[in-house]
Amino acid sequence: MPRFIRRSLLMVDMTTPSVPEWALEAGSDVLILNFEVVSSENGRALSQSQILESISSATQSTAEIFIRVRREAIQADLEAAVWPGLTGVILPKVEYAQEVQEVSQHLAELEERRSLPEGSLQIDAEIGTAMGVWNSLEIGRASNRLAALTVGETSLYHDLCLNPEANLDQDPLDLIKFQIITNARACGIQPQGMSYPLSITLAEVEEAQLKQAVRRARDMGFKGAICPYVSWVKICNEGFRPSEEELTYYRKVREAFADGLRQGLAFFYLEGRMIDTPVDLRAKVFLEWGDRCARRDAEKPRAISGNAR
Amino acid sequence: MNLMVNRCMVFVPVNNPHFVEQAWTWGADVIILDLEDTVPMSEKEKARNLVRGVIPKVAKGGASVFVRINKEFIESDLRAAVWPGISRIIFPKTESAKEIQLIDTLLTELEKERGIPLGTIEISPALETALGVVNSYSIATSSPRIKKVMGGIGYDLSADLEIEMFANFEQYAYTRAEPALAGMVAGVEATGAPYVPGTGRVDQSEQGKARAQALRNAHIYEAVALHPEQIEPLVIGLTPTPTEVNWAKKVIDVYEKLEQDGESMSQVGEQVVDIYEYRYAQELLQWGDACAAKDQYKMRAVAKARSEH
Repeated sequence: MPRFIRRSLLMVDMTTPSVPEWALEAGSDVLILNFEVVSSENGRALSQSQILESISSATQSTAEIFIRVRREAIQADLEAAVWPGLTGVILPKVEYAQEVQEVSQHLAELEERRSLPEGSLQIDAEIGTAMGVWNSLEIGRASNRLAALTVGETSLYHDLCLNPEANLDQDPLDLIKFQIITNARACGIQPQGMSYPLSITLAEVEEAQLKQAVRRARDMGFKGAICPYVSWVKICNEGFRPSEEELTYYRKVREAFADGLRQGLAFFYLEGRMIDTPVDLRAKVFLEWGDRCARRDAEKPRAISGNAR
Repeated sequence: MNLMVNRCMVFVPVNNPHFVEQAWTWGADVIILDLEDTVPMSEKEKARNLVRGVIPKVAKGGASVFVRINKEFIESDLRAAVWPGISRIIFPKTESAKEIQLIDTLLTELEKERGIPLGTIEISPALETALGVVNSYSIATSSPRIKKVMGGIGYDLSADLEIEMFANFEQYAYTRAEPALAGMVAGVEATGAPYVPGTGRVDQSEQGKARAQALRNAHIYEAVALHPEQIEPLVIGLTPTPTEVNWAKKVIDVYEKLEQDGESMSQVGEQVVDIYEYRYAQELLQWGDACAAKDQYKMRAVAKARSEH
């Protein structure tokens, strides 16, 4: 079961201190506040105190709050944006474990200075270059603060000189995505990303198509995706979790296995499928996962979260 | 190429008397006596006490006998399992070289104690977690008793990655590729079964045929059957046909003549004959001979067993 229920990570460009209504009410598991947005005159649109205000206002929603920092200004951006209410920080294009360790130290100092619980701030490492992919296992082990490895697809296309408009039959990043997923899991953290081609085109598409794409992303091993639009939130919340149909089947498995145990058996066939101990264990875990998702959705103010009531 | 003929392997829960009595009639090349996932915790001690007596029963049809032990009970399971008549220990959910080295040492002790030629019992680590996959090279090189590394796919791995099984696309591309590459470098076989579309049912012989074809295309000649229905199609499907054997002989003929003439490449019909085709043809003949020997052995064993009934 994933450590965190973060199925939908809604990106919000912050040009004013208040987080827009549509973002607060979107029902996403996470809000990513993007303060990188610059004004036409001189750098970031918001001042430090305005950022503090926005993070505080963001906590009105039931989402966890993350910020993005700029590679060329990590220290400055952390100073400006780490305030109570923040859950974590997204580091773009991480290439070496050391980068994570340095940020982790800075976060520790900020936690102390700004009265945040010690060790509470998390890090999402975005893997956006070939070097990052190669080092993803070390990066994943670099700090206890690491919550996720995220596939930085647009960056990877630049770094690998791939054509984002190629519209291929197969995802050119397939194996890299699986590698990141495997490495994340080997480190006990969760992988975030989306399936091709929506992961790179970021198109607004029909619900059915988006559902299929999320389903595939889930079945690859991703636990959530960055949502470029509000319309993705509901589908991601519904899709990055066991479905009702699957949960019904898992209940059946557990019942049949319990029956078997009573007869001293841990191996049998259910509708032609093989059932043994790990199959039952997985059913148990997925049922718990389904419960956690339902409880997470129940925390949200409206049915926008996606579950029918 | 590993010439042990394991075209089809089947798990038998040691505590299930029906399976134990019937297993020799199924036609599998290998019976894997299981102490692990198909045996409930409450029955494991009983199973340990039964193993020694069960070995000759399941070997009656000419199958090799392996034993799968528990990660949590390495010493007691090995004491129960290592007797003349078994040729390999399967170690599930292997995650480190250290685990294998411990087993190697215990096997040497037990071989000495029990009059089994030293170093002859093989170990097959099974990679069933993300961590196992990322450690595949150190695992593959951890002991000279390793000829084959299993896993890279399957029920436990999908539980560890927290993904649905039978999602109708190749979900294990990376988790198969990484150990396969490590295996090639290490000089052991580490090939997980390629993806074959399916519903999750394991009891259909058509599925067995499709699997055999996919395995052949990937140059893999071993499979696990999870239901007796798939045994025959896998055994037959992974054996060279007379047509293939004749073709291989022709290729060898043609190539050896080319060599004499100082040439390196020719064509027979549509088919190029070069050194790669020549080596493949030689391998195929060797494999064909090994299969024929195994089939003979099994036939004689079955005839003997039936005459004693």
